[in-house]
Amino acid sequence: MAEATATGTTGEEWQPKIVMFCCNWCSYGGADSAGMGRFQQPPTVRVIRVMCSGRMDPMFILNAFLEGADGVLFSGCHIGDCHYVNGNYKATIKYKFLKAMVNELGLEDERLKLDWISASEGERYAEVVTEFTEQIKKVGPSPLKPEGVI
Amino acid sequence: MEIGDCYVGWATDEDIRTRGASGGLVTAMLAAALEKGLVEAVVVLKKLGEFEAVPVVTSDPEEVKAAAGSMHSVPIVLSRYLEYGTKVALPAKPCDARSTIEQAKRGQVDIDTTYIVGLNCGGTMHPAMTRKMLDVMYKLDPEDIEGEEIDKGKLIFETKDGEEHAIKIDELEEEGYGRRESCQYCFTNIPVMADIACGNWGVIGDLAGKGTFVEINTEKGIEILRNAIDSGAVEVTEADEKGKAIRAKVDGAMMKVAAAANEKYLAPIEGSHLDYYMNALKDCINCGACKTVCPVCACGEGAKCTEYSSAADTYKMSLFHLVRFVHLMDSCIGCGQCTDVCPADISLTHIYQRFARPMQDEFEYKPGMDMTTPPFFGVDLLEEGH
Amino acid sequence: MNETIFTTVCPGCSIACGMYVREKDDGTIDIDWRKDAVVNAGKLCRFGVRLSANLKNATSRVDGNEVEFSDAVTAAGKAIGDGATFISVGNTTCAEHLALMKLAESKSAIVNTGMGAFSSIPSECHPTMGVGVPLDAIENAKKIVLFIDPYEQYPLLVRRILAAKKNGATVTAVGWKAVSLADENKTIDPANYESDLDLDSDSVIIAELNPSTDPARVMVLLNLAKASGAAIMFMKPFVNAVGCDIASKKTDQKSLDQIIAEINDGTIKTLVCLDSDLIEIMPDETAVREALGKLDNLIVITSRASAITDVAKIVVATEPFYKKAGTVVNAEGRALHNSGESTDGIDAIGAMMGQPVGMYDEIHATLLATLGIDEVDERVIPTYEKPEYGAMDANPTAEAVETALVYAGGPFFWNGIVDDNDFVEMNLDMVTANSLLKGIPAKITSDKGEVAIKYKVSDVAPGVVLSNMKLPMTTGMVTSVTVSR
Repeated sequence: MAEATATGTTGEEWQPKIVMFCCNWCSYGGADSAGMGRFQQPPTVRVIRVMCSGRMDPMFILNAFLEGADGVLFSGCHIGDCHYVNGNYKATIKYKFLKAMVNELGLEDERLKLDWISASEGERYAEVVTEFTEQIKKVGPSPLKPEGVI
Repeated sequence: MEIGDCYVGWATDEDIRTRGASGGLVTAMLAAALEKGLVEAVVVLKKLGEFEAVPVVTSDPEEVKAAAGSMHSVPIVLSRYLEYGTKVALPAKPCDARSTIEQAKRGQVDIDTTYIVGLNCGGTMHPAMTRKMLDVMYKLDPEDIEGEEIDKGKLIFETKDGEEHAIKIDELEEEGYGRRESCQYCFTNIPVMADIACGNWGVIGDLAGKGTFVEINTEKGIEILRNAIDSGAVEVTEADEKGKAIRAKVDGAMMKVAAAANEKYLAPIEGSHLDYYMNALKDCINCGACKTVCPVCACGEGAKCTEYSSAADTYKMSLFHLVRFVHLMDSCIGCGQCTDVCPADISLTHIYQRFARPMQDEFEYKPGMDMTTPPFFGVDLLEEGH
Repeated sequence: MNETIFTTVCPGCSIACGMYVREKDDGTIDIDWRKDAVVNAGKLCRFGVRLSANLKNATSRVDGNEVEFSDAVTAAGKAIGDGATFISVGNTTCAEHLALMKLAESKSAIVNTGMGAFSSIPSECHPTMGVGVPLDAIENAKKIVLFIDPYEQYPLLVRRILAAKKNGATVTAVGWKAVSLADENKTIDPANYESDLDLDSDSVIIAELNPSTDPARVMVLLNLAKASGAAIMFMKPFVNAVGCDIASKKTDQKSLDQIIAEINDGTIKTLVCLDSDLIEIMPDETAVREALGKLDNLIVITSRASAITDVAKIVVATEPFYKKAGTVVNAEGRALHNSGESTDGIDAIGAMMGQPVGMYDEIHATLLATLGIDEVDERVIPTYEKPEYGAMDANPTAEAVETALVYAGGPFFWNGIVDDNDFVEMNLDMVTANSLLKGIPAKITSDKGEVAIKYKVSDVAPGVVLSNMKLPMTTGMVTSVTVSR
């Protein structure tokens, strides 16, 4: 089924829908920099700003998948640079749990990713998004996508 | 008397001694705690039928003395029955004790005012299953049953005519009867996390069947036993090394059985995990009973899993279950309550354990064993010095 | 600090699941799971789980003012004269129902159970319509046909049907919504039931009988059962509907619609409702409220605060259901006894006809005699005679509407409680055809009015908007509507 949808009936290439959570202080700035620096990136990502990667609730990510996201990225300041001292460290612990949970649940490992992007790393932001999009294209649409959601 | 000491004890009151199991030490100790004002209330397991006992809170020592333990009792969710801070003593199987400790961590129970009197446990049975098993396997009328015991791997029912009927537990469980599934793969038989651990394993010689083996685990354990001795309700003698060794041996044998059950029930899923879980949960009727009975859930009415999940959602899996999976990865104690109450007969404990076991093994964290917080936050942050 | 534990049954529907109610010294209650219960092995649906949160006790009132219980009883006694009409649909014990029958008899009246289908179907069918099959028999059936949605309407049947499937049964569902446990979901014209369903004596038909059920539908199903030899079970939405039916003498009963019509034409001036809230039970809420407003005396004897207790002239607030001494009979015909010993409700009804306190024992003996048993034993189902009946001529009227709001009718619906049932269901085609957007409520419009409500995409029949919550703009169990954004 993944192949059928990937090519699509119209012949256009299937574009995944990716939800990306960015922290207010670094990664969201990174997204800005990527735009201002005019770094090419695929139009697959919907960015949701959170104050800190430590604010990420596992529920946000699970909800994104249930609503039909093909992949979820979440991103914050590099370790040591957290605006709230150790929020990103907390994020890593949550990520560990989530990753294990999502894997046990049977979603492909590629669909969830945590990465650090600082405000000045516009180019890196574009790279991360491009790379993740390619990754999701390979695994195809999410099996949790509800009927009627495109 | 010190932490780590082991004794064999019994009730001095003859009635309690003969009526209660193994010399009635636990009953006498709980009643004495109430009589001497050590606690305001005791949770007793009130027998409401041959195969069912429910936890009831009482301040009446007579009611404590009248209550007899039952192997069919369900895990106790203490915070459901008591207000925070009540001075209370409760008899607790290992899962009861672990659930009480988990609730204490979440501010539902005050551990300093709660005396946990642990009871050895080799597993419990569901009342409805017990009746069916008696009918199908033993060919007995459930109404004729007067007592039961486990001896040498056999489950023995005594009928009113005095006859004993024994079948090997292995054989029963092979046929889908016997202990609850979660009990079969449970590794905690001796309540080492309770204030005081009691049971009949390791009671030998003349005292066999007439005494209870007691291990003191905490200061509160010393307090409650001392209180009972001082008030003359119980007598104890020091346990000998041979008794201790036998107790450890029984525990070891049970562990082996549990390990085999783990292989059997929690073997890796073949094929798609997602299909497996979606199929397992497809008959969920959204009743919320699994959360209501869950001893490690402390969110109450405004819980994330229920507030953000609705029967109106058009999702392939319910957010309720997914949130609970994450939640239970570090805290599921495998008590089996959720499976027991599920109206769609979903093996929820089994599912939660599939998520929890690998994570708990990785962090070497066993919930409910002490007041250490779960690895989700506390442990790692402290260790890494953040 | 002490607790009292009552062994009782869930008042949500006619399955009558066993449960415990824990009552603390301060009167607060909580439910607990009675795993030794033969009906449900302790398992409860959402209604049972949330019982303590959702059920409110009633307060005694006369003319809107709170009064003492005894004053309300006295006022009711004075107000109930000859010509009063009595209703008890089965939300209380057999004992209270029988007490009400005595009261009605003393006023030369009868007690109506509200199941209109009974009066239009020959009496030899009544036992079959009343008592169904044991729940264990469902597990052993080879073929099960569902004319209900077990998930929504009778959730504790789900595990029985799943067990049957494990035992090799095939399940066919004929209903508004596809149910996932069915091997096949079908839409069949009632005229073709026999040929399309292919049933035999190892089959069980599960359907529902409620006050709004079309008698012709019941007859079609009875015909189907007779022709195929299949067992048939009519589930009812009220916990003791079966018990009340058995207890009631087979006199000419009026349907609820008839009663409303007679209130409107002025024939009925005094109405006595025993744990029967017509505003909740009947689909056209506004019409019921209007009619009740025309009564000289609306007397409500109930344990539960609900819509009707707000409009009644006299409210006699009896003890909560779990405390009542008495028995209920569930859909299997199984008699189940409450451990509570309170007879306040019965004594109140007694007092209304000048009887001294203490009617319970006599009434309970009458019930045992009717059931032909010496004592109530939940593990033994009394034997019921089910006489043969002949095939009947029946042509259920098909609802010929393009788009219809249909009531699914689960425990929350019949008890007028909003819990997690505050949405409607429709299929994806209807959602796209009407350009509905995710997260924005759908507008459902009937001749009577409009509501905006959350919707869910489900596998329901084309043109059907399924609701499990009472909506103000409906005129019946099926109402013609339009859907828009």
